[in-house]
Amino acid sequence: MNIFSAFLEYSAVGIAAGGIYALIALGIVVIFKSSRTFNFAMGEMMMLSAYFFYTAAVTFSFGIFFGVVVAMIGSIAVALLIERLALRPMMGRPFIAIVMVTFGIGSIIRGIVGMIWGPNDLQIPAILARTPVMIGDIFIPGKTARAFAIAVVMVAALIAFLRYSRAGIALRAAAADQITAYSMGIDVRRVIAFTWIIAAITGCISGILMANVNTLTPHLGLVALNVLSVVILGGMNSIGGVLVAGFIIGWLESVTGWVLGTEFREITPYILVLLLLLVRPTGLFGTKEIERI
Amino acid sequence: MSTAVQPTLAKTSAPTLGRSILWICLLVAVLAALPLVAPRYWVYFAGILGINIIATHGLNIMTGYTGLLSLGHAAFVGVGAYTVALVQLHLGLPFYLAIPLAGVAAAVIGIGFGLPSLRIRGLYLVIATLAAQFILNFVFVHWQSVTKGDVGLTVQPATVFGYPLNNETRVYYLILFCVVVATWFAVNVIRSRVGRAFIAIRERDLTAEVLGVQIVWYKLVAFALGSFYAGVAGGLLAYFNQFVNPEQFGLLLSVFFLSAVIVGGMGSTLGAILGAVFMTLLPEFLREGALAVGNTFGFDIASILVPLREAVFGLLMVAFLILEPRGLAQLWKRARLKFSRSGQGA
Amino acid sequence: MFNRRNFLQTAGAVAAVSTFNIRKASAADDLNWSIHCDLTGPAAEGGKPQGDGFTAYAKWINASGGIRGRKVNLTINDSTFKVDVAVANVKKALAQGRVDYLFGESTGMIQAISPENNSTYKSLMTSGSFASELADEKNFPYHFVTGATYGAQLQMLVDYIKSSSGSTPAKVVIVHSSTSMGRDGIEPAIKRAEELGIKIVLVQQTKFVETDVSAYALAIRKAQPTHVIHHGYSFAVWPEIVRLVRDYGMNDVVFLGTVWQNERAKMLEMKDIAEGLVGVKVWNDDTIKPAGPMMKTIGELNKAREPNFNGYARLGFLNAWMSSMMATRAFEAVIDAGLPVNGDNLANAMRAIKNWDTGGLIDVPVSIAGQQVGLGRIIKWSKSNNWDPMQLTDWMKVN
Repeated sequence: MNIFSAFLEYSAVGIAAGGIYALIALGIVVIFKSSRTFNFAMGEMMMLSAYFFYTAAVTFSFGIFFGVVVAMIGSIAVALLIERLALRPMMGRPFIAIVMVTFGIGSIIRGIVGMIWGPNDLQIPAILARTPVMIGDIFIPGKTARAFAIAVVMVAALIAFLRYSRAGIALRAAAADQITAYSMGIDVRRVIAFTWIIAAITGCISGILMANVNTLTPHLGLVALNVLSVVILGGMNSIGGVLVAGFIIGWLESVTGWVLGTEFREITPYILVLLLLLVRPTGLFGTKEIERI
Repeated sequence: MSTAVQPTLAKTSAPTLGRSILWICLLVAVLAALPLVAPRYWVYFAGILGINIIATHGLNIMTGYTGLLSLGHAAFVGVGAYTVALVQLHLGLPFYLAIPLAGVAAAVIGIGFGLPSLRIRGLYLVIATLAAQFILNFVFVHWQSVTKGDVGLTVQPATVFGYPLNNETRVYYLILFCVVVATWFAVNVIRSRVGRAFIAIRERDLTAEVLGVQIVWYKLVAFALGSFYAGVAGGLLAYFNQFVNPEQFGLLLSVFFLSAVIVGGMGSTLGAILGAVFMTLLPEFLREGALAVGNTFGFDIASILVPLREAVFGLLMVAFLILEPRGLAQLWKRARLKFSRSGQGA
Repeated sequence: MFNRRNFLQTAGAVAAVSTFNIRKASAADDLNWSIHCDLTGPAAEGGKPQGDGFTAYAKWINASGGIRGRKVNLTINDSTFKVDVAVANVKKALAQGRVDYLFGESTGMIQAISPENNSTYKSLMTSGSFASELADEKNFPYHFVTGATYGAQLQMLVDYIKSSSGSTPAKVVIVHSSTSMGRDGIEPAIKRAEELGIKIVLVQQTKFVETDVSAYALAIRKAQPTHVIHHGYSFAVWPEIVRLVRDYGMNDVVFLGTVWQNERAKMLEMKDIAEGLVGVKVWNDDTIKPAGPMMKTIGELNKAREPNFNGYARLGFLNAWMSSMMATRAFEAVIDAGLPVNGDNLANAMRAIKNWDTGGLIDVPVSIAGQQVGLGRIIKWSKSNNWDPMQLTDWMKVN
C-alpha cells in the first residue's frame, strides 16, 4: 500500500507540474499552428515579461496586480513587434531560416535585457498563493496546483475559442490551408499576429511563474528548453494535445525521478520521443500535415 | 530555390579553373605563413576557426545540400573528441589513425540516432538529433568509468615522427592541412553524382525517387558523411585543447554550427567557410569595435559589453536572414561580380 | 532608408574596426599580474567584484612601495564567461612578455591553460574556482585554491551535522545541481557521512534552472530528513525547495548550503526562508567589526570606492584579495631567499606557507596543504542577530 500511495502522490504532483509545462509549450504550439514557425525565442519572451512585471511591481511599486497588467501589455506589444518586423518578411522562406531568425531574436532580447537591467539575480514577489491543495491524503503544492488550473482553463478557453468563434475558425482555416484561407477572404496575416498575442499572454504568465521558482536573470529563457519534448509529444500543432503531452511528460519525469533517480528525469522524455518516432511520428495528436515540411 | 542564372562574364572554363587554383594556392600559402607574422592569439583563433570550418562543412553537406536538419551536430563533435581521447589512452593510437577513427565513430553513432527518421520526411530528424544531443551529453557526464564525467579526459599532444604538436602553432598546421583536405573533398562530393543526388533530395525528393534516385540510401550517406566531418573536427579539438569534457559539446554549439551554415548560405561550400568565419570571428570584432567606439566617445562600454554583443550579433543574424536569404556566399558572389563588372567597364 | 545596401556597408565598417589590449608600459622588474575574470556576462555578479578586488589590492600595495620594492603591474581582462575568450586573452598576455602571476575565473579556463602552462610558461595561478579537481599537485602544480574546495566544504557540513545532532541520529538529504560544480564533492561527502555513521537517505540532482520543483520537495518529504544540503546553485531552485518543504509543515528541517549560497545581501532578499539557514564561509566578510587589520583596510577601501557600501565585502572581492595576499606571500618568500622569480620557486614557496596570519580574512593561521587553503567555518543566518552570520564552529580543515 505504501508504494501505491507513493506512486499516486508522485503521479499527482507530476501531472500538476505538467500543467506548467503545457502552459509554456502552448505559446510555441499556437504560433506553430498558424504559421509553421517554431519560435525558439519563446523562453526569452517569457523572461522579458517577468522583467516587465518586476519593473512595474517592484521598481515602480505598482503592486502585483498592476504589475501583471503592465507585463501583459508589454509582452503583447513586443510579440506584435517581433511578428511584424522579423517574421512577416520571412514568410515563404525555408523553415530552417525562420527558426534561425527566432534564435537571433532570442539573442537580441537577452542582450537588451542584460543591458537595461544588468546581469544580477533579482527576486520577484510571488503572484500565486502558496496554500496547498489537498486531494485526500495527497498534498499538491499551492503554486503548482494553481498554475495547473490556469493551464487547463487557458487550453479549454482556447479550444472553445477556436471551435466557436469567427476568429478561431479563421485561425483553424489558415492553419489547415493558407492559400484557400486567403482565397476565402481570411486575412491570414492578422490571424498569425493574433496567435502571437496568445503566445505573449501565455508566455507572460509562464515567465512570471518561472521567475518565482528560479530567480530573475537574463538567462531565464533557458527554462523553455525543458519543454521541447512536450511540444514534440503533443504533435506540434494540437492545442489539446500539448496539454495532455504536458501531463504525460510531467508525470513521466516525476515517476522516473522517484524510481530511477532524479538524474534520469531529463532524458527520459527524449527517449520516449525517440521511441514514439518509430511508432507514431506525428506525435500523439498532431495532424499528418507536418510531414510535408 | 533553383540555381541562379549566372551572367556570362566568364569566357571559357579552362583558364578560370587554372586561375581559381592559383588563387587557392596563394590563399593556402598565406594561411600557412600566418603563424610567422601574426600574434599567438590570432593563431589560436585561427585554429578554432579551422575546426569550426570542418564541422560546418559536415553540417552543410547534411543540412545545406541534402536538407536534413540536425540539432545534434555538437554531440557528434563530442563523440569524435572522446574517441580520440580514449583511443589514445587505451590503445595508444597515433593521430593519423585516431582522427579518422573519430570520424567513423561519429558517423556510426550519428546513423544510429538518425536511421529511424531518415525513412520519414521532414521534421523528425530534428527531433531525433535533438534527442541525440541530450542523450549523448548525458552519457558523457554519467558514464564516469569511461569518460571520467565532469572532470574529463586529458589528451596528450599529437606527435608527428616524435615531434610533439604541443602548442597552438604546431596544431594549427595540422588543422590547416585537414581543412584543405576537408574542403577539397566537400567540393568534389558535391560535384559528383552523389552530390547531385543530395541536391535532388532537398529540392524535389519525390521526383528524384521517380527518376531512380534511392532516397533513403543517399540520405544515409549524407548524414554519415556529415557526422564523419563532425567527428574529425572533434578529434582535432581534442588535440588542440588537450582536454575533453562534457561542457564543450552542448546544445548551444549545435545552434552555433547551424547558424554558420545558414548565415553562410545553405548549399554552398564557400558559404560553409564564410559562415564559420562569421560566427567565430565576428563576436571578437564586435567586442574590439565596441570597445574602440566606447573609448572614443567616453562611454563605459565594458560593463554592458557582453549583452551589447549578444544583441548586435542577434541583430546581424536576423538582418542577414531577412535581407540576404542566400547568405554570405551570395554576398560574396555579388561583390565579385561588381568587381569584375567595374573592371570590365574600365 | 533601411535597405540592403546601407546595412551591408555599416556591417562592413563595424567588422573592420579593431583594437588590441596592450599592456601598460612597465619597468623591467615589475611583477606582471594578469587577471582574467567575468566582468560581464552571466557570471558578472561574481566576476566584477573580483576585478574590483584586484584593482584595489594592486593600488594599495603599490602605494606602500610594492612587493619588496617591486611594483605590481596589473592587467585585467574580461573573459565574458567564455573559456575560449579567456584562453585567447591568456595567450595574448603571455605574448606580451613574462607573466608572473595569473588569475583565472573558472575551472574550465585553468584546465585549458594548464597543459601548456605546466610545460612551458609555469606561471603561478589561483582562480575563482573551488573545484576539488584543481587542488591537485600532480596535474595542476602551479595552481592553488584560495579557499576550501567544494569537496572540503561539503565534508565540513557533514562534520557539523554530526557534531550538532547529538543523540538523535541525523538523516541527510543532498540536493545538487546538474552542473559540474554541483556534482563536485558529492562523492566525498557521502563517504564522509558513512564514516561518521550519518545516514544519507536521498540524493537528488536538479537542473540549474527548473520549471517546477514539487516532485523534489515531495521526495524530501517522504524521506523525512533532519538536514538538507543544497550545493551547486546560486539563488535559483533551492529557495523554492525550502519554501515547499516548509509548506509541508516540516519546520524542523535544517537547510545547509555551500559558499556561493551564503551572501548576506542575498539573505536579506529572502527573509521568508533565510531564518536558520546554515552555511559555509571560507573567508570573513565583516568589515564593520573587523577581525584583523586587513579586514579593516578592506572595509576602508570599499567605503571609499562605494559610498553605499554595507560593510560586508563581496565574495568575489575577498577571493581576489586572498589570491593577491597569497601571491604576495610567495613573491616575498622567493625574493627574500634570493631565488629567481619563476613559477617553480613561487609554487614551492606557496606550498611552504605555514602559520600565516592573514590579518583577519581567516581568524586562524593559514597553512597551505594539498594546493589549497582548505579552511572554512560553519555559520548560521538569523534575524535575531540582524542577519550577521553567527559562528557555529571554529575554523576547520578537512583532510
